[in-house]
Amino acid sequence: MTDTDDRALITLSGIEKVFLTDELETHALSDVHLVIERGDYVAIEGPSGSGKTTLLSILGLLDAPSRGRHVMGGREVQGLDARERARIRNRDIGFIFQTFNLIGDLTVAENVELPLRYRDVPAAERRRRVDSALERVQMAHRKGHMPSQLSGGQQQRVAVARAVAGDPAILFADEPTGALDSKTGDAVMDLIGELHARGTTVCMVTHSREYARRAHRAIHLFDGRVVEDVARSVAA
Amino acid sequence: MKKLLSLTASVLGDARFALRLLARSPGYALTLLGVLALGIGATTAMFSIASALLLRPLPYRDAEQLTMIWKTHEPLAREWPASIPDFVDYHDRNKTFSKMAAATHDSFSLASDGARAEYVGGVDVTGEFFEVFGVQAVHGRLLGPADDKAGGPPVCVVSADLWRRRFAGDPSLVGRTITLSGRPFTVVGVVQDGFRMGGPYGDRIDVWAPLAVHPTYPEKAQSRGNNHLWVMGRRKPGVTLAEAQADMSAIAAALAAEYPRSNAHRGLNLVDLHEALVGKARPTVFVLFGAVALVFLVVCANVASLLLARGATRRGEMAARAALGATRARLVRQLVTESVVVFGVGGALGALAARWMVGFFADAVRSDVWAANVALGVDGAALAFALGVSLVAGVAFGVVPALATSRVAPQAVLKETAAQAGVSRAQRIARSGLVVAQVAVAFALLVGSGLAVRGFARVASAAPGFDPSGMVVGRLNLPETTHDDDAVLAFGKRLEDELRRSPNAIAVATNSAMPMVGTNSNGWFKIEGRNPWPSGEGPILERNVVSPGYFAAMGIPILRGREFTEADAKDGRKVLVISQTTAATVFPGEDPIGKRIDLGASKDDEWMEIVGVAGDTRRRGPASEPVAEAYVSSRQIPSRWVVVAVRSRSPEASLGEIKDAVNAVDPRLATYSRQRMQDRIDDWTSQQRTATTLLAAFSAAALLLSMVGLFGLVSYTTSQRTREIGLRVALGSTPGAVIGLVMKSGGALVGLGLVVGAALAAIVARALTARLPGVEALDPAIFAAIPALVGASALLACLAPAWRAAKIPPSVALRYE
Ligand SMILES: Nc1ncnc2c1ncn2[C@@H]1O[C@H](COP(=O)(O)OP(=O)(O)OP(=O)(O)O)[C@@H](O)[C@H]1O
Ligand SMILES: [Mg+2]
Repeated sequence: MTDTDDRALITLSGIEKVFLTDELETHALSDVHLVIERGDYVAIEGPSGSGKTTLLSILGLLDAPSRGRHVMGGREVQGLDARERARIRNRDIGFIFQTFNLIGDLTVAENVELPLRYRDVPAAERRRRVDSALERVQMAHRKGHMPSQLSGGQQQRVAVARAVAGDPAILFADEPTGALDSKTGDAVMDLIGELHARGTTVCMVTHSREYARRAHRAIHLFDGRVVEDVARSVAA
Repeated sequence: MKKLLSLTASVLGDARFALRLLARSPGYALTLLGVLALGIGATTAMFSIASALLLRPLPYRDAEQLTMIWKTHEPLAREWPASIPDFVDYHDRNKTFSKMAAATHDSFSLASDGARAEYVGGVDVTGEFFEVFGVQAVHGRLLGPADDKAGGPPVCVVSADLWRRRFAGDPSLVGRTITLSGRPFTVVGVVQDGFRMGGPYGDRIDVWAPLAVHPTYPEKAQSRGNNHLWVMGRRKPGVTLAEAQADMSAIAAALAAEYPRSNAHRGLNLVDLHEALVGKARPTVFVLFGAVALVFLVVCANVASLLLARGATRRGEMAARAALGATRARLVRQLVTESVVVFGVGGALGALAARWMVGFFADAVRSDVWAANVALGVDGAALAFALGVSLVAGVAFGVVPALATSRVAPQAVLKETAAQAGVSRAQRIARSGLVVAQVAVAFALLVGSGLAVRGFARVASAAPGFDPSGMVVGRLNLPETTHDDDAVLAFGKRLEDELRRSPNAIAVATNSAMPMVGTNSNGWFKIEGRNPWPSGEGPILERNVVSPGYFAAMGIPILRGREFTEADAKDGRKVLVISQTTAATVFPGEDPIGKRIDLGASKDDEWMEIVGVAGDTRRRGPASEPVAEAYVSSRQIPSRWVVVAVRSRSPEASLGEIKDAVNAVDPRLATYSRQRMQDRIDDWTSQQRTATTLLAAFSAAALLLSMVGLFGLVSYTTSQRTREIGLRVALGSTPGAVIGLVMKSGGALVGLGLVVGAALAAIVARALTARLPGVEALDPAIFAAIPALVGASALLACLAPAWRAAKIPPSVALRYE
């Protein structure tokens, strides 16, 4: 194993994604080559329909590519079955969604606890991790609330807590501030920055130039292809 | 007034909109209306039967005055016939009846113009018979008191049915002479269409003749102990049943004092004739009506679920209407109107469906329909019932979906999570409640029909005590006018020989009162060396006059001693075989062989020696208990009632051979009701079989509907939860866990349904035990098997939505609508 391989968390080579709908083929991704290294803070940019969400869902094992090689943590994952993919998502990956995606019938704490449950973490350990995750996003005082009783920003903070409660190796976020006003958006981005600073690999789709600039690397998509992949000099 | 008009116009507008909605989605409309039509159709059909049979009076003028007058012999019998002298006294002494008549069955073989003799049902009636019922003649005249004179000319009245069928509706039949069982009768009239009444047992009567002209009348008129008349009367206007009862009881008491030998301990039991004819049908009608009503509830809940599901897709429409200024009440009114329209159209289709269901359901009470002589059909009352039920159900079951659908929460649009949870919550709760109700009712119905099926199996599988396989039977009657005792004896022997000649015949036997065939003859008896029981108080023996070799032919075991042979001749020692029950009850702990009994078959003391003990048989159907039986040989005691049984290699052929053999031996005679023995046995339980089959079908329909309801709800909630499930999968839930999630949501509903249904099932079980023979309310097998059945069905119903849920890709978590 070479030095580079050791640092690579995810490697995509020759990835293609084709959607078939009513005799219509949509090439959402074409010939994507990409390496995401441990500790990266990547922003994925591009116009609407360029394939950002598709790329993120393949990276996050939510979807499988039509063609290509997908290596994660040194292991090929494109051929794994649903069970195994679920296990990897659950252990190694955290997600933050544009529309928060909290489950309306579960309390704040239960939402955060959900991935830990799927992992069969013992109850006491689950409680400890939920508390600490909620504290990190300053939502501990709303533990017993239902999502509908929270503001949008608060809901997204809970979603962040849920994403990090399982201590994932990599955090994926699809327009995490898309549904928030700028002030709340700032707070959520601060939170993500903080997580990165503590060592989490972050990969985020954003339409905001300003938030993209907080990342250390920007990948530009156009029409399903990576047209630009630039590393920014790390501030400070 | 103006307000009312505008309200009507706006309701009509809503109704038109509802019809347009139905027309726009034909698949949905078809499901909805089909389910409703079946539900309302079944309910209406059952209502028609209940109303024709139980609710409406008999189809005679002032039918509430018609009374059945049973002689009683407490505690042995409450429904006994009376003798001719008794009847004359009832008729002449009573002060409460305007008309009173008696009838006794007389089987006629009708021979005419070279055609082969045909059996027709007939009765001999007293003078006021037709006046009791107040029916009219369509041709000629009916019988009156003037006809009922001993030695009078033999005349008769025929049914309109026989007149059309046998005499091609020829009016010149009146005045013609026809030959009935060898005797000439002049037809004086044809009675009005549909009148077939002969007595309390619903035989379809074709010929009525005066009782007094029967050749045996003068002899029978002397005997107060010869009870063979069914007495019916019309009470005077304003006289209650209780008043008539008091009047007649006083007469019975007077007769008991005057004629203690024959009338001690004899009373009279007056019953409304309608009740006497159809009372037996009430339990069955009650059970089936109850079952149909429960099925209808399931149907309504099912339709309400469909309306709710439909409502879910109309949130946008409701919001738009609200935005345009519709109040919640206005929205509810619109939705309820829509539901009433749906139920109304379904009800109209249901009334059509009821037309063919009636005939179907009526088989469960066929003999009672015959007895009451009523026509079945969907009439105005039934249509009104269907309409009423549809409207009430349309409002009742329209309100819940309307309330749930009209709940528009504008603020919910702003918070997606809240929107997902909140708006559909009312929907989900309402639909869950409806599914729970459906499962509960279906469960109770299944328990009920399960119990009924087991009860029926218990009854139907009871061994008859003889071997009916390959056996066919034919009945005939040898008239006293043409056959004296020696002729009866000779006929029997010749008939047996004739039948044995067929290569199909394995065994041939005759019995005057063949078990399961429905003929009975019984009476008191004396035992030699014991004091006789006081008059009319001892046990009763069923009398069977059987051919030699009867027991071997029937497959009835001889437990002790021997059976009859040709050696037991007319002039020899009179011998007797008794049944096991007789031995056990009359001779407990003794050896009955060699004991002597007098059956009172002839006028003088005639001691007959017991030579054998035979196994018991179930004489009155598979549900009946064996009774005490006595058998005598047809070579020693002649019987004019003959049931001939042939065990055959080819039962179908033997049915015809019986007819031919009777004709060959004596062309003046005809058999009636030639049947396979197994069919006769099944006849006893056929109504219960039909009722049980209907119950099973109803409960299967209820189960199917409730499972469709469950499937619909689980599919709906699962589709509502697509995002959530996708999210769970994204967060690491496995497909198995997703299937479990869906199954659990379905399982919770079914579990709740079973708990609620258990209480209902207990009520149903109790209602059934009292009404269907053989049913045991606490049948553990049923109470274990039915929940398992419901559970398995539920599993099946949830499988498809669960499978679909397991296929939800996690990437939907990233997609926003
Ligand atoms: N499930 C699907 N079925 C068919 N086509 C799809 C599907 N998902 C995405 N696409 C198509 O693939 C292309 C890329 O879509 P994707 O959602 O990745 O774009 P995006 O860059 O995230 O856009 P946006 O900025 O609007 O979210 C689009 O043309 C889209 O219509
Ligand atoms: Mg996107």
